[in-house]
Amino acid sequence: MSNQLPMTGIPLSRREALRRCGVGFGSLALTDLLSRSALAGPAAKDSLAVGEVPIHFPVKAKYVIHLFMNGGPSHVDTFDPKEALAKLHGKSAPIENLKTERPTGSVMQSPYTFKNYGECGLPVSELFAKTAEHMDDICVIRSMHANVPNHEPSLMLMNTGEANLVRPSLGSWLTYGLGSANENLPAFVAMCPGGYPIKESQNWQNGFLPGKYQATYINSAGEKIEQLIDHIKNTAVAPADQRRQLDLLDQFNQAHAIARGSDPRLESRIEAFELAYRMQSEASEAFDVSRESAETLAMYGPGDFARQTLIARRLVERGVRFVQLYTGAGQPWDNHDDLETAHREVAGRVDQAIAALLSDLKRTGLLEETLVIWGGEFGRTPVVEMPKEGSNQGKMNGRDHNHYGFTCWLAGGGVKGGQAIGATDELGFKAVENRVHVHDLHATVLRLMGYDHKRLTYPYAGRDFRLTDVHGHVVDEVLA
Amino acid sequence: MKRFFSRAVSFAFAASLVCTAPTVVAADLGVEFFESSVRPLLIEHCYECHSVESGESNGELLIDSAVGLRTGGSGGPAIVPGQPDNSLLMRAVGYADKDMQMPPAGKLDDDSINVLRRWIEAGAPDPREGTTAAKSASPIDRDPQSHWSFVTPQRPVAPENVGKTDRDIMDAWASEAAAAKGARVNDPADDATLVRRLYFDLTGLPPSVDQIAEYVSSSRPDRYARMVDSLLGSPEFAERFARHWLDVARYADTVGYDFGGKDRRINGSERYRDWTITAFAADMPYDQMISHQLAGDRTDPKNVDGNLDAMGFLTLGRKFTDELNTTDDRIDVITRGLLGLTVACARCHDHKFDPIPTTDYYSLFGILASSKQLADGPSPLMMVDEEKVGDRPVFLRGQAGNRGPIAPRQFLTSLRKPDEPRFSDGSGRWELANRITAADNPLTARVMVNRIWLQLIGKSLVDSPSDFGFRTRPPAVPQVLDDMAVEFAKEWSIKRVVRRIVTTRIYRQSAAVTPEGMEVDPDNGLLARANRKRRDFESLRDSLLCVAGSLDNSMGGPPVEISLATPTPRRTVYAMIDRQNLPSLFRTFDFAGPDTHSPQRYFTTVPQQALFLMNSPQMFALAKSAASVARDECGDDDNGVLTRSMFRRVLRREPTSSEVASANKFLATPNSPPPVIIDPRSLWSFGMSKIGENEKVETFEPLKHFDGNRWHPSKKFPDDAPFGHAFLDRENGHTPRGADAAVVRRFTAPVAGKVSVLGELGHQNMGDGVNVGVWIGGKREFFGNEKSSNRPFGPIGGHVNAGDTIDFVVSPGPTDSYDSFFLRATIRLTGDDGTNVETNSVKDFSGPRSEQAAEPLDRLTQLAQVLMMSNEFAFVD
Repeated sequence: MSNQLPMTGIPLSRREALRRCGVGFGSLALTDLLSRSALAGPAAKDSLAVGEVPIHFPVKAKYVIHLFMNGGPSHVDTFDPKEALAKLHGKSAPIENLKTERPTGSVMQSPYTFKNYGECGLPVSELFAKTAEHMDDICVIRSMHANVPNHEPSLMLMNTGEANLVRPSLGSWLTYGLGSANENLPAFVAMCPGGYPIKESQNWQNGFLPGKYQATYINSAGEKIEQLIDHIKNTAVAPADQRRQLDLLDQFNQAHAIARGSDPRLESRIEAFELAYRMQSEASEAFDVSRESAETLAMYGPGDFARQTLIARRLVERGVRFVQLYTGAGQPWDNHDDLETAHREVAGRVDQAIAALLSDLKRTGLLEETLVIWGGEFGRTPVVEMPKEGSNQGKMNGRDHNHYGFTCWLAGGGVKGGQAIGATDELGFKAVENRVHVHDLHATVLRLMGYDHKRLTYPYAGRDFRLTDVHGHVVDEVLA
Repeated sequence: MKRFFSRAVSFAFAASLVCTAPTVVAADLGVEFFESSVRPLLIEHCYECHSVESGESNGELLIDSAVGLRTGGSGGPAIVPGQPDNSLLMRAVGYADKDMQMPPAGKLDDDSINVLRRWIEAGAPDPREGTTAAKSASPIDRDPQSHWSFVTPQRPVAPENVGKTDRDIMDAWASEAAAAKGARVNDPADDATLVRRLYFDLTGLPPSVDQIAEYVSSSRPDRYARMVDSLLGSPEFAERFARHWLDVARYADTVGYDFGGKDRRINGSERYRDWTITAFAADMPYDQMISHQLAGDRTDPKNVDGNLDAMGFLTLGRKFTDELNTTDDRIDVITRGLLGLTVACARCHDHKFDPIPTTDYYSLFGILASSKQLADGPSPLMMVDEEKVGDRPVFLRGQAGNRGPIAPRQFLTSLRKPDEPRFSDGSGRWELANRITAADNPLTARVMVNRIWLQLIGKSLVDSPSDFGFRTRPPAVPQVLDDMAVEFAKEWSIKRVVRRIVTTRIYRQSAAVTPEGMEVDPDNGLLARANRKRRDFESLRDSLLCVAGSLDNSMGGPPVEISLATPTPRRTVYAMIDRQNLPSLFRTFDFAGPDTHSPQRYFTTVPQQALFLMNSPQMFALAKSAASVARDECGDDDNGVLTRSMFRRVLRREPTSSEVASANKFLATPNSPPPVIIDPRSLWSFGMSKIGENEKVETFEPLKHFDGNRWHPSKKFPDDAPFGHAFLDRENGHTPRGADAAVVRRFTAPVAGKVSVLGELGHQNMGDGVNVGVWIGGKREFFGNEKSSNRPFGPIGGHVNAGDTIDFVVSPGPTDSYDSFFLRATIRLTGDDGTNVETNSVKDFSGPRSEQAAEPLDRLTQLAQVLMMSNEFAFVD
């Protein structure tokens, strides 16, 4: 959106916008604005390509790919190994058995083997053996914690910084702040193969920010562009005729605009049709993974998650600001029982593609300006979940939700890889060392993207809101 | 303040004498040191963002006074005199804390930092007084009467001069204000423009050509008043204004997210929507509307008049996981919606800017917590008082377990008299409604007339329509707002306010913009010109239906889906609003987010809007319908006549001669071949054929039976000769019997262009193999006798015309046993018109398809679509 006067929607010129913000040209990185405009082509001339909030710090990452492991992957089975689990397997935990969503019992060892990887020697389980080849680029945060052991509020907390009320998501904040770097594509894309994660489109909601900051949701189980983006293809007018239509439209619109003196809103809408026309081919191209080489396709591997991961790279390459990838519809990682086979199956869908993504980003140099985030809404308990009628009846081989301690990892732009930050207790139940709350993760992500989380604000209902509300500290150790 | 200051200094001195430092400065010398070394530093590096003069107080911190530094901002005191190491200021300038580095432009040099350190060590002597003192007083202590919106509006003093074109006293104030600033008031809009504008504002729909003509040609002096009255009496007016109110009421038909796949539809949600429409239609007085919405259980307990349904205002919010947030949502819709106050800001602490203490929030909380929703009453939307009603405690910092003092149920502190009795009648909702509509309430009428003004004029008088708090400036022409508010509060007639506004010179002037006008008054605060408006989502969609001749004007009832491929003819106000997954159509066109109260719409310009208008099946259907009506209306095939008919239908006017010329040329251009059918599956067919020389297909007969995986000649398998084992599946097949018969996998080119074919084929290792020919257009480009093979073929290629085929022909060869084979192929077609098609025979294999070929739009329909997409259609002058 161009900056607009309320209601009249009259776009301000950039000079006028700056004047109103009380910001002089000198104090704003105008060259940055202009260069971004130039990149974005003719579309940028009405300031569409420029975000609403000047950055506060040098930008370390321009784009984000958020690999959302929805359902809650078990940290003690992936990136936070605990030797004590094997020793105490089947025994009651020597520490307080913290209250989680459901009743839990004795200690349960990890069914997987761990190995050390890279020069950093960080241990990773066999579930992520391929991703593990990149450990020297990955910063593991083992001391994450959230508020409650339930999916819905925890998804909201991870995505919007607020568990219960309707607030804008991280991707919305960033696209509001930084704008888009390619006006022919949506700036914020959320993909999930086969349907929605739970909480559905609330996961990428714009809250009180303007509607255009909500993610464009794509069911990546579809392979064709028209299944991916609304109205991207025309089924009833030949391309040559559509061009004729738009030429006639432009002729009528120009005459209309000239008769009305200068109204930038009329110009913007004329331009929007040309943008849409270009988008038809550009978006089709961006989402078409068949244009990738056979080697690349093989590297990402088969399946919907692999395809959406490859699409994510193609989108980021083209300037899409924030791409969020869910593991699958519902909550694939939520393995209250049969954890060994279920986690193996789910990890099998994602590991190769994630490893390929990191290789691919590195190969193209994009990793330097792209922040990759991996994690779920919480982790899982080191103790076994007790059987419950109608749910995991007759089974005692899974783990319950755990918000007291879990793992996420970051890689790419501005992140110091090859290290693990913080620690959970000896069993992996609770974050005890250098604890990192979800708000702290958000503050850190914003920092990498050039923002002071306390100053990326939006005035709404009488006060200035921010992603981290009244919380959040940047985790300095993450920063390279 | 003085006392505090001197105490602080003496304390600081004591501290510094005890604990530190060789650099103690004597008191007088201290001030001198401040003036010579410290103040310049602060001015140069800090004032830009932290001073009254710059108008900036980032982090709520002001540095331009002693008090400002000592009381500090959101992070606490900036300095602790005598204790540099405990002073935030030193931490910030030290740059060690990545979260707090000041000044942001770069770290100060060591000398400057040292100056600040020495000054704080010395007790930070600071002679500055400044206006910051006022800020140190809590907003709660502010006198409400010191802010314009808390003062009950009075009839303003009449203006001295009345201009020739002024029609209302409001016009005179506005002309006066414009003249004072040197802005020239615009001329009246022309008749046709005015008719279009009025229809848009009052109904959301375009007038017909005849309606425009009738007005323009009328010589009656009361023609304008008659048009206004007739539109105010129309159902379309009620629908349009009801929709404006539904934005205020955050109306939706679903609760949002609910656990475990429960039904999310709010039972009877449409009753509230329909009540709103009825209320606007009947011009129900606004004070009554408020009473019904807050306390319908008192005003119409049995729902005899349907007014109990009005309580949807409270109960139609999102479903939250806990009652606290549900109540918070209701407090918000009441206070921002009706009073223009952001009381929800006081949930965790006293309001940061307005005299709204936390106890005010919990006063309202107590009222709502003493009420409950009653699902099985006379209305599913109703609330009633709890059996046990009572006051609730403040939750300190908003946390439920953390109880503070009891907050009595009563009206907001700054709006009640000191000795006013507390609410005692049940929950207090009824008393609350009465206090909101009381004659001395300074906000209710102002907030509502400002909302009406916003809709009609296109820009509100008060910039933030739902926040009239201390930070909100009075309108540029305050008399206009106050005069309307005083008048409104007499009878609370909404139609009367609307009639008054649309009759003003302000409303009726032209929207023309001159460079001088932009220079003097870019925001149009002086009301010296009309604002060109863009059709909102509802008006755009309704108008498209209207010009297509498809609009169904029936009223009320359950919500309807409007995001399907075929257009639903009902007005958009009746659309199903799914709060949880609001269809992208709504969001793309800036619909008010139904999660919380919405003060006003955004108007964005994004390409997705254009894509909908260019490419959606709904638009095709509407354009077809418009074209067909226009054709019928003129009953002629002449392009010129058709063009005129189409302009009258869509834009409601005659075309200019140059428009006729352009449109005629457009209509006369032959239509291009139909567009590529999107789904590549439809490009493949599967058949058998007698073959001629070189496996040329002579009689392509489609295979007739699909068993779920394979196409066969018939249900019988194996079939009688000559069919035998013949079949084709996604990559395998078997030939029929006889050397002159073949199975054929056929691709039909949708457009002319160059093709390239790449594939793999193979045969199992018995018998004499199969013969495989690939024909592109009329030429055989590949032949192979495949036996025990497994190999790639191609790329082969050529040029095809639209309708030409590429045939993959497989025949048995001399003997017809062991003739199973596999064949895969990828075809890339680069169309001469720029269309690209890529298809893979495996991926795009399919069973029977009952797809209607997309019917291409004819030229006249394309012209209709162009006019429906035009700026003239989307904007109203």
